[in-house]
Amino acid sequence: MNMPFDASRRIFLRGASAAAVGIGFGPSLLMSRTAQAATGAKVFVQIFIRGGCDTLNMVVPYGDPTYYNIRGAIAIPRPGQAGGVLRLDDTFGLHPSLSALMPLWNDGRLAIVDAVGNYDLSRSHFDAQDFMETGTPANKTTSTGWLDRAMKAIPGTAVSEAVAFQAQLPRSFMGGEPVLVATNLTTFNLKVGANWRTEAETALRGMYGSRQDAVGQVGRETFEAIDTITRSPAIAAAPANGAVYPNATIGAYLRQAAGVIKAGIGTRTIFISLGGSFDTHSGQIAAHQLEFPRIGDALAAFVQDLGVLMNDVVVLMVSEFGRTAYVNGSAGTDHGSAHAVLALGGSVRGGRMLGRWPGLSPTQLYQNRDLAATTDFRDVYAEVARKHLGLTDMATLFPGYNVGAGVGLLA
Amino acid sequence: MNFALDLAQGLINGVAVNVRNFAVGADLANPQSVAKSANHAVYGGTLLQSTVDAAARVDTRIISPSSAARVSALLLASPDTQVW
Repeated sequence: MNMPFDASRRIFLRGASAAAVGIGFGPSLLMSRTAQAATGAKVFVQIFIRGGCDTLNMVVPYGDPTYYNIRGAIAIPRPGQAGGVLRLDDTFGLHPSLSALMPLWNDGRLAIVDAVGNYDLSRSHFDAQDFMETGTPANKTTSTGWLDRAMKAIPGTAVSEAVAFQAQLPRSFMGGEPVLVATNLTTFNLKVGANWRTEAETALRGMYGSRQDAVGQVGRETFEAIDTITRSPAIAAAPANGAVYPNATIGAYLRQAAGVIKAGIGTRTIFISLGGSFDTHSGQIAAHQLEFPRIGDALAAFVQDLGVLMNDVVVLMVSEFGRTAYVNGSAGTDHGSAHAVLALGGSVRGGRMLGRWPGLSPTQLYQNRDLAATTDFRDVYAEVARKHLGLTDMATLFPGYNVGAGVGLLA
Repeated sequence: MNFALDLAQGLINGVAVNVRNFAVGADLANPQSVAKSANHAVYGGTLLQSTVDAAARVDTRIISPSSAARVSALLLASPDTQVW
């Protein structure tokens, strides 16, 4: 039976195979990449918080004269008060549960770009995520993700290696480039009992190895990826430098991401999909007290674990949108527009707030309800693509968009 | 691949592969019979002969999962079953 939308079939195939064994389409160069130890190649790690994170309570504009008027019971107290924000500058402070990030801010390794977004992203989780991941707001016909296009543009044999920590292929990587998709690399293998593993592997390797079509290619790459991971014990090695990751999804993913980087298998881009209690229509205070320490502790552990390797890594943490500036009737916030992006890494011009703060007074809000967007998210992505990954063709990376000069995020 | 293997091994809650229906009329103790019957009953005879042969080479000395279940698993996980 013919399927009307081929792309969905590709997603299914890649997603289904990714239950524990998965890899995307495209030319396989995993083995040659494996032979290339890390040689100072730049690595980009994107953490995508799904659910629409209320960054107005993550990076709190305590100095904005309107914040405490419109946030009511969910407002985070001023610096120095009980449960108060951790002062970043005269206007902004971090949520107190993110205390693990303060040393990184003070050391100049953490920067924040506030009021990032795009009004065409919509307030639908799924549409906004899709648009963020394709890099083409309001265009649902884009068939490739922006990271897939980035990987396609990176020359050489070691650079098309991409890793996604998600149960299925993320939209960001949708396209022709190979992607290693997994939630747990330590179990990245065929799910068969030990008593018939050899038999199953031999049979399936033979079946896929003899096929010259795309399906055969996927199978071969999957087995190559299994071989690569199996031969790279560093991926599953204990964290270095005394780093301790929190027992949470973000901790597990970042620990594995660090392992991949330390293993030197040529990885250039890593995508981490972070679900959790971020869609805070109600009970936001408790949700953030649960989630934010995990994020802060995991990022701090990641930096500690990588040590000097962090000089070649840039981490961006984004969400599909921010949330309403006003507290709602359920001690929560609803779907909004702009949000704050956190950036970490060796070349990040840290210890500073970037972007233009639009303010929270009613006339400054977008549609009288949301933090206005003053920086298009593609300008943040583009700065990383240009300065960190060395890409130049922004027109291909972000079709239909004239990329600006950047926000001064990277040195 | 793993989805198919899980499916055939009965590791997905609420779903099971009925080998008797998967390989209608097959001698379940005979991997070649299972593979051949499944090819006709489920795939309409479209499987590559090399796929049928590879799946039929399972070791009958392994008791669990049964050889019929392993043949089913390999056929479901085979490239012939994937869509593109």
